[in-house]
Amino acid sequence: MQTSGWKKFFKLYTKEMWELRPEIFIVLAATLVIDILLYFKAQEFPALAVAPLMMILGLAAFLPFISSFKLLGREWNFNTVYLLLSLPVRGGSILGSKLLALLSQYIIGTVVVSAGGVILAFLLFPEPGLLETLRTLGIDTRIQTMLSSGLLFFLMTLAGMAYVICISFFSQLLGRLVKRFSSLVTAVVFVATFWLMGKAMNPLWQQLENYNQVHLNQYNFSLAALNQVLGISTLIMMAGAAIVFIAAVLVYNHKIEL
Amino acid sequence: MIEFKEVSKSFGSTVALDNVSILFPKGKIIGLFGPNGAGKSTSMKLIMGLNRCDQGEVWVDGQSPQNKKQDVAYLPEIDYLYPWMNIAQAADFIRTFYADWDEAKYRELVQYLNLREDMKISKISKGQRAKTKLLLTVSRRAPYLLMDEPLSGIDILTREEIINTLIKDYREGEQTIIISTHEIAEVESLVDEVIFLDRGQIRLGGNAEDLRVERNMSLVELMKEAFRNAD
Repeated sequence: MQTSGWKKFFKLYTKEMWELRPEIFIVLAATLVIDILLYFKAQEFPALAVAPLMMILGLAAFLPFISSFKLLGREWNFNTVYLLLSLPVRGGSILGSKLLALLSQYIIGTVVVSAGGVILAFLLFPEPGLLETLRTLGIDTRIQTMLSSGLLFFLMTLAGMAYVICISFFSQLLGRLVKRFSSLVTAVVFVATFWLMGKAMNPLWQQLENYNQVHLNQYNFSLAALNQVLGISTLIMMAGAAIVFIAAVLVYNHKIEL
Repeated sequence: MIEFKEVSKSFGSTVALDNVSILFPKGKIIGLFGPNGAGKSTSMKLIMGLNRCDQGEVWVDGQSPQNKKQDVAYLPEIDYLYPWMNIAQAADFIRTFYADWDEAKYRELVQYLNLREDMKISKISKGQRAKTKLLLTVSRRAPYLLMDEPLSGIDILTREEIINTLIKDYREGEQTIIISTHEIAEVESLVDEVIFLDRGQIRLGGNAEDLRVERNMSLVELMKEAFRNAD
């Protein structure tokens, strides 16, 4: 019986998630240990909890980028690329499943760390309460505000991560086209692609910056404008990620050989 | 039918195949023989779509190899399975991609080859890895079976098991098996057709039995003679 394309994609995705287990476990374990430690040790100076939490959040956000090199590079290092290339699936599925797995790793890591941080904050700031403290600082703490802006901000970082991972895939694949100095080529292509894409997207960022200056300044701030900026930033980065992803798939489908 | 039309392939300054035209007939066991560096593995990879020709064309049933991966089962010389998987996980992974996976045959072969599904690929011996690769390739009812050096570095008992497995399930006239090896004596009795490759060119080719009768030599002797004349 013919297996559907989705089933094949899901099987590839499951395999990638299995390979990412150690990194996901590291973030979960580190979050648990640090949160427990901070709960007991930072009662007197709750503000001290911010730095370690930021560090662990940084780790959760940065690891998928490192893992992107492991996930693709390993296929060559372990010769499993022979199996991968002989499967009746195209580069879109292979690279798409890897991208999705890395984004899943990012989501799991950042959500768990953030959730841990929020719970810890509520526990460490019992009186007059975290929300009250935020309100006195002039921060809008209404649930819809937190949800809409928070979600849009998260989507923007997710799109940014997808963009960086796609550049990582593209540069690694180009690096594999040469027999010698593969790592050097990967590094050069990575920097060059980042720079080139930055140049290409610059007019869009410039327009957004102009909008920012008019609608988001110390005299004129609206939540709708902030959400608009976050949304447009997400779309720009998603477009950038899509362009680089398509380029990577084309290299995989038409240039990669063993 | 697999067809090579004036195929050339180089890797840097090394010529792997030099303007080669080959016709692999359907439903036969074909031996692709030659010393190391003859171009056997490159030929396999071209059929599988893992390499692309510099010049010429490769056709599998009239289509590009990239579009026929579904119909070709490939056993490469190197270990290509995920080391963290066990045999059951590797089988589960591979079976998802192929409609021709034969579960009953897989179950039977696990027993026949003295393997266990919970064996972790990174922990098993070289012979067991060779048998695992064979198991996962032969468990498919693919019209084409490519085996690149399946006996390389394998002890004599395991070699026998591998050859017996191939004979056991071969569907004559239906399935095409291409075996590349430089250990001809082991597969001499198995092959219907032979192609002797050396330095990217065909030295000799044809029906194995006809060649043996015509020249009154075994395939090993034939290869020696073909390559001696080439020098």
